This record gives sequence, C-alpha cells and structure tokens, in this order.
Amino acid sequence: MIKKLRILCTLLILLMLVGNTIPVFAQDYYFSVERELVDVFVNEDGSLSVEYVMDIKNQPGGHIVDYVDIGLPNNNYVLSSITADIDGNVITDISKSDYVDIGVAVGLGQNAIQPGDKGTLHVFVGTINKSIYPSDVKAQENYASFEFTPSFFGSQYISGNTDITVTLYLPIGLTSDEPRYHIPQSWPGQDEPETGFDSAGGIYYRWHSPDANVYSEYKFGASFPARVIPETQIVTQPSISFNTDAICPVLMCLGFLGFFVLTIYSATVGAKKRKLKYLPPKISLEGHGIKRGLTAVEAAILMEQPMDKILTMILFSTLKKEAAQVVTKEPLKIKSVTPLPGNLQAYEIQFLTAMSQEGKEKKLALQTAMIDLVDSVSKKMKGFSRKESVDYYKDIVEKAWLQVEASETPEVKSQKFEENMDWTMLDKKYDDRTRDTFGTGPVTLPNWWWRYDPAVRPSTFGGGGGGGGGGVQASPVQIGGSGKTTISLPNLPGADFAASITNGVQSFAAGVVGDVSGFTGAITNKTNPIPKTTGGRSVGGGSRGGGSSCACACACAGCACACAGGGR
Amino acid sequence: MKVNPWWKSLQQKSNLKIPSAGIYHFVNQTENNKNRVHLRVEQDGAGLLMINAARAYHLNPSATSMAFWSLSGNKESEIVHSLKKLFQVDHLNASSDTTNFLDSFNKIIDPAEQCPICELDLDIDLPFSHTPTAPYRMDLAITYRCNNDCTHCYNARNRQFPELSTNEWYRIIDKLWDLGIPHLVFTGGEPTLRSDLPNLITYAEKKGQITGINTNGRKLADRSFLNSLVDAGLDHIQITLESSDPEIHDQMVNRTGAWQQTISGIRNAVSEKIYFMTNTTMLATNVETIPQTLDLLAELMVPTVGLNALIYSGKGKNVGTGLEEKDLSNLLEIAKKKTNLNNQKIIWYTPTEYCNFNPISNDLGVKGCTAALYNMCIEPDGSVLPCQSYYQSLGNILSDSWVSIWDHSLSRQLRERNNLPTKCNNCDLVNECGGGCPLIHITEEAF
Repeated sequence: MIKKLRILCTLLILLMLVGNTIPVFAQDYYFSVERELVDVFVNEDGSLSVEYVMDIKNQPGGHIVDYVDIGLPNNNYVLSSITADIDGNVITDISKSDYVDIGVAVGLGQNAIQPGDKGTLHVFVGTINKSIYPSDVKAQENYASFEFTPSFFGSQYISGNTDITVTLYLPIGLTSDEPRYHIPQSWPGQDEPETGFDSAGGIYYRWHSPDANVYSEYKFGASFPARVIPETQIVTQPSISFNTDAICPVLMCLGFLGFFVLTIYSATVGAKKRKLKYLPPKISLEGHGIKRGLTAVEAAILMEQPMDKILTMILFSTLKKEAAQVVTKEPLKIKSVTPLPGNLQAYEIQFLTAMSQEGKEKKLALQTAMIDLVDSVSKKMKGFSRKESVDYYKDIVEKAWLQVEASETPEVKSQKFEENMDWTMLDKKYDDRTRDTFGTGPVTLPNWWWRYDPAVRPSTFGGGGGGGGGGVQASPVQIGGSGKTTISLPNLPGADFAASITNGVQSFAAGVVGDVSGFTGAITNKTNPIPKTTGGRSVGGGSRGGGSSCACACACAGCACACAGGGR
Repeated sequence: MKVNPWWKSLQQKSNLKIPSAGIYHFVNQTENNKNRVHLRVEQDGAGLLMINAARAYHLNPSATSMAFWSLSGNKESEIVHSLKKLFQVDHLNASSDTTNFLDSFNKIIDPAEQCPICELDLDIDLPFSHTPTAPYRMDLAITYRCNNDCTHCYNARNRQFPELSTNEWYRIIDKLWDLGIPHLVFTGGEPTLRSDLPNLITYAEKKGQITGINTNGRKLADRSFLNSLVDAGLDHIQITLESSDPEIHDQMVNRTGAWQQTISGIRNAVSEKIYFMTNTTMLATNVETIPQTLDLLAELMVPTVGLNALIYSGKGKNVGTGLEEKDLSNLLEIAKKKTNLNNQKIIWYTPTEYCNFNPISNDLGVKGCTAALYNMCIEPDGSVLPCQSYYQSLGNILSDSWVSIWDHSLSRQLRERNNLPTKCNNCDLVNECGGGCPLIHITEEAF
C-alpha cells in the first residue's frame, strides 16, 4: 500500500511535469489563489475528513476554470460524503476523476470561473477510511500518524502568492502533551504551529503564511497515540521512512504519506484523458450577420429560387410599378411605358429592355440581366452571412403568410395577399399554401392584375386579346377624379389564382426562357465559373479585396488584416 | 509475405489523439496548385485555421480535431472512430457530422479554390469578435534604416535605432512559432538593407511560417538579390509606389532616382512566381496622379493593388498632406473601376471612421484596426508594438513574458476598443468600424 502511495505521488508529480513541458499559451489556465484554507480532521472513527476553501481569481486571458480534480490518498473514500459549492452554489457534478488515478472531479458547471472573475470553491470530503499509519514514535504506547500535501499547481498557471492556512484537527481524547506535529517541509512560514483545543475539545495544529504559494509542495503531518482511533483504521502495511531531520526531533516517526493533491488540470493534460463533451463541428469566420434591405427579387436570388420564377417576379414587379403591361401571354410579349417610371430597379430596367427584343437576342439579354443581378446581389452580400440572411428572408416570407392567414374577412385577406405577394411567392409551397389559405373562397385579384392578364383588361387599355384568363370578365372601368384609371377586378377561387401564378411561371419558361436548365446553366457558368488552375504559387497576404463578384466575406475581418503593410 | 492481422487496423484507428495546443503546418499540393494551411490549436481545444495566412476560420473543438486528423492524412472512417473514442458522441452522429464537415473542409483547403465561402453555409461571427491568444501576423521591423526618406513616413524612431543580431532574430522567430503565429512580414525601415534577410526568411520558412516583405523595391532592381529572397522561400512581396510620375514619387520619398529603381523592382517581382502587390499612399501630393498610377500598375501587370491613406504617426503626424476621409469615396470608386477593368484585385488598408468613409458600402469589405489583435510589430531591438505605426512598447519579446505583452493595458485597450470617441457610443457600425485608426485620437503626450 505504501508503495502504491508512493507511486501515486510520483505519477501525480509526473503529470505536473508533463504539464510544465507544454508551451504556454495565453489561454492556458492562469489564475491566482488569493486565499486557501485547508482543514484536515482525524475523526473519532479513524477516518479522515478534508475541507478546502479556495478563493480563486481567474486572470484575464486565462482559460476558464471549469473542473477541479481532487486527488485522494486511496480508494477508501466515500463518494457520497463529498460535497462542494462554488460561491455558495451547490455543485452536484462530483464524480470519479478521469484525470487522477484516485480522486474525484468537481465540475463547476455554469458557475465555472470566467477569465477575470473570482470564485470561492468549497470542497468537503467527509470520509476517507484507512488513511492512518503506524508511527515509530518511541513512547510507552503505539502511535499513529499521517502526513499530507495540500493543493499545488504547475507554476506556469499561477499568478501571485497565496495566504494559506493549514489546520490539522486531531481526534478528541488527547492531552496537550501527547500529540506531535511534524516540521512542515518547504513551508515559508514558521515551523512551529499555533496549537490549542478546538470547540469539540480536540487538539489542533495550525500553520499560516501570507507569503505561501500554491505551486510549491508543502508537507504537513502529526502523530498521536493510536488508542484514540479504532485499530482497524490503521494501515499496517510497510511504511515509508521520512527524513528524520525534517521531523520534530523528539518524535522519530515511522511515517507514511497521506497525499492529497488538489489540482486544476490543464486542458492539455485533460484532453488526453477525459472523453470530451461533444458539440457538432462548427466552422465560422468573421463577417457581417444578416444583409437586410434586399428586395424580394434579390432575396429570391439569394435563396436560389428557379430562374423562371425570378423572371416572373421581376415581370410582376414591373407591372405593379406600372412600367409595362402584357400584350400577349402565350407567347409572352410585354410593352413598356415611355418614359419608364423613376422607381425601377436596375434589374427591372434591364429586364424590360431584354423583353423588348426578339428570339435569341431576347434570351441572351435576359441571361445577361440575370448575370448582372446575381453579381449585384453577390456584391451586396459581401461580408454578410448568407445563411443568416436566408433565414431572415425565410422568416419574412413566413410573416407575410401569417399576415394573410390572420385576416378575418375575405376582403382583408385578399388585400394582405396582394400586399405580401412579392414575399409569399418566395415560398416553395406557394401554390399549396395559397390553396390552403383561400380554399374555394375568393381571391380578389390584385389591382394591377389587368396589366398581366389581357383577359381581364378593360377595352380602353387595348392590347392584344386572347391569353389564358379563363373567361374571367372585368368589371367596368372607373375613371377616378385624379384622372388615374382604376378598375374593379373580379374574384377567382384561391386554387385558380394559385394555378394562374404557376401557369405564368411555366409559360415564361416555355415561351421566353425555353430550357430552364440550359438558361440557368448559362448564367451560373458566368457567376460561378469552375476555377481555373494556375501554375503559380498562391500563398501570401491576401486573395481578398474587391474586384471580384464573389459574395463571400473574403474582404472581411476574417482575412486577418486591415492594415497589413499599409502606409509606407 | 507479411499479413497484418485484422486487429492492427483497429489499433491504428484508435491511435488518433486530440491535438495538443500549438501550431501545425500543412502543405497542400496538387499538380498545379499549392497552398499552405496552418492550424493553431488552443488550450481549450478550439482552433484557428488559416489558409495561406490570408483567410481565417474559427473551429470549435470537435472541428479542430477533425481538421487536424484530416490534414494529417487520416481517412473518414478513422476520424469517425476517433470521434467516438474521444468525444461523447454516438456512431450515427459522428458519422454524419464527419461527412458534412469534410465536405466543407475539403473545399476550404482545396488549393484550386480561390474562395469557397460562397458555396458554404458557414456561420458568420461579428467582425473582430474572436480574441486569439496571439496575433495571426507579426510584422518584424528588423531595421529602421532606410534608403528612402519619405516625407509622410510613419516611422517615429531614430534611423540608427539599435538592432538585434541574426541569432537574436532567430530566437524571436522561434518564440513566435511557439506562440502559434503563422505569418511574418519583414518590414522596417527598409528590410532589404539587412544583409541577413535571406537567412531570416529561410529560418522562418523552415519552421513553417509564411513570410513576406514590405519594401520600397529599390534593392529588388538587383535581380540576383531578388532571387536570393525567392530562393530563401519568400512567399510575398509588397512594393510601395507613390506615383506614376517619377518626379512626384521621388519628391515624396525624398530620393532622386528612387522611382526608376522601384519600377525595376516591380518589373522583377512581377516576373517571379510569387504573390506580389503594390501599395500607394493617397495624399494631396499624389492624388492627381492616382488614376495614372493605377494605369501604370495595370501596364506593369501588377495583380493586386493596395491603397491606403496617411498614417498619423512619425512624420505623418505633421506632414499636412493627408486627405479627408470623406474625400476618399470618389478616389476609391475610380480605383475600383480601373482595377475591375484590368482584372486586378484592390485592397484598401486604412481603418477609417465609417461615418466619414464606410468601406463596406464602398464594397471594400470590413476594415478596422486590428492592432494587438490580429497583428503586432516587433521593433529592431525586440520591443513589441501594437502595430507598426503605434510607437509605444508593450515589452520586449526576448525578455518579457508573452502574457505580459499580450495582456498589457494598451493591448487590451486597443483590442477591446475601450477609448472610442463618445460619438461612437450608439453607432450601429461600431463593431466593424471601431472608431477608425486609434492614432488619430492620440494626443502628443501619448508618445
């Protein structure tokens, strides 16, 4: 047993030394223990109790103090007897330590001590059996004794000195001249302890030094007549001889080593032994969060909606802005107003220009418009989080639907539907949700719908006939006092309206875009070309900055330098 | 024939360990491309992944271990096995997480990928929100001697400032590597005036660091000297050209004939297979020639053009030729158009007050002060500065502990942006802006 204890000591010390060889980083543990109280009780039943109170101050930049591992002298401790708290908050995470061969781990949990913060840790180990050893004190009766070393840490983790008080409480029933203290080893304070009787009538020895530290290995001990504890608690294995020069000359103890180590393990050591808590792998970089302020069409690009749908959205937006009207739906032909309204987006102007052309020219111009739109969105997204932005716009879509669905009357519902249509169209289940929302109930067509559907157009607006209106008739034209033309539009069942949107997208695809995959491919080949390889070295200070259409954050802080080498 | 028993493979799988704190260097080489990857593992298991010392990614502990194992050549199955062994995760999650992780990770480290971020749904953290344990880049001002004498130079030291020996610089490079700093830029003064520059480059490169120089380029007019740097392993060069007009350039650097040598240096550097860029300080003195200067740089086939404003330090404090921040937009708009047209990259360096000039809305990316955060500077005598223009020593790298330097009150103040003007208090852009260059707000007595 003694041998085992010695091995344990050696192992623990070696572990410390391993820690010492690791290069020290700023986020190593780096803390001070401003005050440490250590009480060791020899109970009447011969067991030991140990109590630690430590005022720990985690230094700014230090690693978070999250676990404290307490080495114990043997496996005869009672786990359920151990209690702990941090700043008065009870700690429930006390378990067998994976770090020390014999000992317990105290998890501070959400009360872990953050860098720059302080915490008072209190640990009480209630019962440790068989920790007393025979002593070779020459006396008329047998003596027993114990020694221990309180907490110590790798010096590289420690800042400053510690005010340490160590008290050994001996069993009740001794007279003042019977027990013996051992001269402490390596102790910066006085060898001779303060002594007296505690409130229970037991003798105590107390050593105190304000100039101690928690990285030195101090050793304290005492001997006392064995009769005051049960014989069964005294370990009768071969013992370790102490350097007698270090012990009170009158005693000549046949010592033993009861070795307590309280240590906060470095992550380096701990990582090798503890099965770590798992969080899914995460890669992040620095940049902006959400890119707000995109139009619905731009958001559609961001959300990678189908090109034909995006083109339909642009078409609708130009119609809403009274910039054009559909002449025929199949094939889709539109006519722009002259001059164009001033509130058009660049992509809307490009779209209208493209749509004024014919055949291949039209298709190519639309592709160019879409390439420019993708580039424009990419530039707007530079440095912003695509993921967070997509989530943000998905949320807008959902809120748009909720506004529609929460409307209590068909009229209000239709009004909200029209107001939010830009965004609800981004919903991949737009058709289904429109049907679900309106069912067989009516949707009052948007007041610009006549610009899209020649079938509901009043005769005063001219344009071609035909198209796919399904025979819906428009109400009579009303001329407002402002001179602006308004029209009362008919209702459609929700399902039919949804179908008309879908048909619109499809007819755009069939009549203008043609093969959607080919059309989209021609765009993505420009906006996301396959990288060309180069023979040159590409290392060094920065494939970053402007000049590209990349939407990524590579010009952001994540690229490490804001003023690398500037200013010369 | 020797046959490995089946359990051998299991033994191999179980040998993977969580990487110890430190920095690891990997070279990613394909037939036509190459990049260098640094993985800095912190004590808490989190990691910093740097690609070519230019793009920085932050990894949580599980991602750090997976990255390390992958970069070390382990197979997906081995990574899954190790995850289960070392982390509290079941097979199903370990397996799917590994597949997803490697999908993104392999794109990030692919040497052929110029910038994979567009394709990846990575989490974006606030700018400057990660506080590392050491900067990503250390500028080594190995000498303050200079063969130019720029009228706007930010150098605030005597040109005869004491210099460390080659061996002392080796020790510094050792220490920086141990701190996990993957990127060194030799600067000055004029770094090419130190004859041991090739030795220092070789020493750092052998350790695994990426090296670059900031120079006026005059000595690079000597082809053999440039070759000695390239042969030493130098990764990137930045040459300062102030104007396309020789007279203006020479006037600004206060040396007749300097322009000719600098242009020769640029021509030589462009012809090397090395990352190369120029830098131009936009001042009242040269502002009229900025368009022409950009044209010249395009003609010289300079791939990347850097621009910056006056740094208010050294002679720069009193030169009086600095441009108003609000006047920068038009100039940079011209620069963007020209570089776009010429298929060049543009890098804008100067941290400005966003209320005067917002680099984000000008499509120049987030620019803020990164002194004592992502970069620092070591002076010729070993003193550590927050950045190469902020002449207040935080301690000496050879004699003081890193913790005392990194946690110096000034380091923390700059890093945490504690002394911002009151007008910044309620600004939405304060995270990105950080109040611009701190030097602008510093009083004379601070130095």
